Amino acid sequence: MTLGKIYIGAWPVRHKVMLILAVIVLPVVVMMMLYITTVRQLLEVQEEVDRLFAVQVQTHAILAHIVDMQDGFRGFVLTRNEDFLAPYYAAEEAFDPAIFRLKEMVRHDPEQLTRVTDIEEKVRTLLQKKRRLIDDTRFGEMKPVREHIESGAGQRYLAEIRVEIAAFENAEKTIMQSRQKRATRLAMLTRYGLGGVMIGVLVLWWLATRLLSRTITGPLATLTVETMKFGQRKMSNPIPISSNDELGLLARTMEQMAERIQKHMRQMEALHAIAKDISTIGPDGLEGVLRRIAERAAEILNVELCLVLLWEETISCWKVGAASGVWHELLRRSVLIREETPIAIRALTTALPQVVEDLTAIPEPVSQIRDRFGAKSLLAVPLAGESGTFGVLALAPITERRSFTEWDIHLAQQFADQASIAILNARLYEAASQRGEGLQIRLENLERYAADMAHDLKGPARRMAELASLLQMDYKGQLDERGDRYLAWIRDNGQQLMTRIEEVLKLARIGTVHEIVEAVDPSDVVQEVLKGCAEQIQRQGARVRVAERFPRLACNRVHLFQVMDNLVRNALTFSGDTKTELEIGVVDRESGVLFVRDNGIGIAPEDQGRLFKPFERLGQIDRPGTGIGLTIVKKIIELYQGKIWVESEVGRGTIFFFSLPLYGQLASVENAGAEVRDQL
Amino acid sequence: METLRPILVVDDDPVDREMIELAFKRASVVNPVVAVHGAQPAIDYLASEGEYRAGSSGTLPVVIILDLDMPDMDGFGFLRRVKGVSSLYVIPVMVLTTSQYDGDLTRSYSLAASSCLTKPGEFGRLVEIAREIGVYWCTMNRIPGTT
Repeated sequence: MTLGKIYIGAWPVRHKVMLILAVIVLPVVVMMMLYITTVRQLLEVQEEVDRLFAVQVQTHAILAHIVDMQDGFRGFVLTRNEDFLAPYYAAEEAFDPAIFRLKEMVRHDPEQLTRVTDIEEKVRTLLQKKRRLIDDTRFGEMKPVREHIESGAGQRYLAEIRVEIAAFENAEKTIMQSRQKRATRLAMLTRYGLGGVMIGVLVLWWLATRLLSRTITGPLATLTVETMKFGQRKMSNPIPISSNDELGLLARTMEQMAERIQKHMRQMEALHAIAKDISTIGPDGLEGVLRRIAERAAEILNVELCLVLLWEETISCWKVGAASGVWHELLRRSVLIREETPIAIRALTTALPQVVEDLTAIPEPVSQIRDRFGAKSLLAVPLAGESGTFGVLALAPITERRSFTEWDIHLAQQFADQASIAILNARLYEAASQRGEGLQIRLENLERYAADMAHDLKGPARRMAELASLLQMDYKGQLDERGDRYLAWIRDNGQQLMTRIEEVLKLARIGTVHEIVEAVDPSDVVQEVLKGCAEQIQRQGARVRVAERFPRLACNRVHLFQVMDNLVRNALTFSGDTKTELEIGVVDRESGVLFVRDNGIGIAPEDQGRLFKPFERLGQIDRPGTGIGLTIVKKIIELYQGKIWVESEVGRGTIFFFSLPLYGQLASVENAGAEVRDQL
Repeated sequence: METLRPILVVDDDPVDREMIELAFKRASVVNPVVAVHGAQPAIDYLASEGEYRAGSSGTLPVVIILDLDMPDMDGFGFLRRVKGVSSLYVIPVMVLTTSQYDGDLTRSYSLAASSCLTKPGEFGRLVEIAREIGVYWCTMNRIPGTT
């Protein structure tokens, strides 16, 4: 069974279908042939019966002729009347053709034919005797006639003939009966046979269906199911189709395909994981990233050697960024010359992967990768960033030659793309952290220096002012009016110096100290500022209008206070001749733009550019102020990546606009401190 | 009447020292002013006073006026030392400094300074400060072991 299965299993589907058809068609043909044979046999039996009937009729006719002859002979012998001989002659005449026909009829049956011939001979002998006796009678020789009659020989003879005919007839009847019996049996057999064949056909049909489903539809369904399962990555392997036909072949092909796809998917997954791994910038920085790239590339493409070659444009040669395995320590920071790396150069210039299956066959006289490392084959994939190719990943099997498949190249390129990103990121990171560190140190120095200087300057200035004021108090009237005035000036200048130094210190500290960013309602801050300036407002009789509602801002409260305070004081200080009007409001609630407007002296367009520069006091030396307030304002605003700008007309007034992040856009502020540091 | 407890002024600058002494005089603060030129002399003073105090009680300073920025040992160093001694940490320390940097204030308070003041740049203001100190810290404020 198993052998048959294997044997049939190896058949092509076409042959299987033919077998199945044959299984169905053959019994039908056999059945039809059987039927035809039966019918023909029945017809033959019928023919035989007809013939036997004819034989019987003929036999009877012959018997009648014999009787006629006997009767005619008797009558003539007894009466000597010639009239009696008429039937005799008629019978004698009819006998020959009759016996001939009978002979014809039983020609096929030698036994019967012998009987008929026997009968014929006997009749002929009888007739001969009769004819002699008739002649004797005519000639009056009655004695033999009498003897004949008296002996009863004629009668005996006739009786013998009758017996023979009867035997003949009986034989015929027996034959007929056996023929009839056979016909009946045959008919019955045909009936049962037909039924049997019908059942057989049904059974065979069922078997054929089974066979069909087993060999064709079943496997097809299995294939369909497995294909669907494959879509969900749950395909059984091997597919449960064991035949060796086209379907089996298809299943095997599918298994292979699935295996390859799964292998590819595994590789892609690995690639994905690796991409994460290599792009992680650890404490080892760029070098670590390069090292991991080399190791992982060698691993994923299953080669012994992987070199990360970075092109150094300035010296026009390769720097070995990293190498896999033991090569790393040997090659790290070494250099490969352009002329000695023809394939890598091709990959670099074309920005396309380069494959050389047999390195010994390349025409180039020198190839470091071949000559130095003993590589048998080489796959060089470019490492490229937005600004172009910057390096090459050289993948080289050493122990044996290898033909990289389309997939290998694809995989390597994918990997190289990930590696490129990782390298560029690591480079950026390294550069940024170096710059950041340097900047931090410089800033800290600067801050310390500024603080030291401020303290050193502030102390004497303060003491000078204090001493002057002490002198003023203790020696008032002992100097003349001019002396008193000078003392006052000394005191004022000392105090001014103090304030300015303090302001410079404030400016230096913005952004270098981490301030807490919070949700600030500008209304509160404005009220606080106005309270602080209440005296000046009252003195100037200034009219102040403040918007009823402000959007909440995300900043440090003190910063917003400093901004508002400076702008408001600025507006009050640079008031015009008319009664001071001050307005604090919001331009854009969506983007957090506030403004402070005054009707003061205004700023000439040519001066507006210098406005935010430190110690630029535009013309109005007589007005109080350090000249650094707007610089502080600008710096604070920019700390939050905001903007400040001015619209002004000389003699009409000035509007300062500034934007700060709205509460809810905090994310962008997170790095604000760092950004300001970078700008310094 | 008991001996009045002194006000200890710790400042490296002679002008400031004199000015502060004068300011207390002008403010009619009756407590004597002891001015030393640095943190270490101040600690020496407190130590000897402590010893001295064993014989004659009640002569620890009623308040210490402390400058932050000083050579050798700065105001913070002084605070750390003084506030670590159980017999001395009850003495209120007024930080009087030129610095307006919040960080310095925070640090001072974290080291248990009692008050922080800015050197004003005008003698009149300094007298006011001295008067306030005289009123509040020298007469109203109480520390254990005094009446």
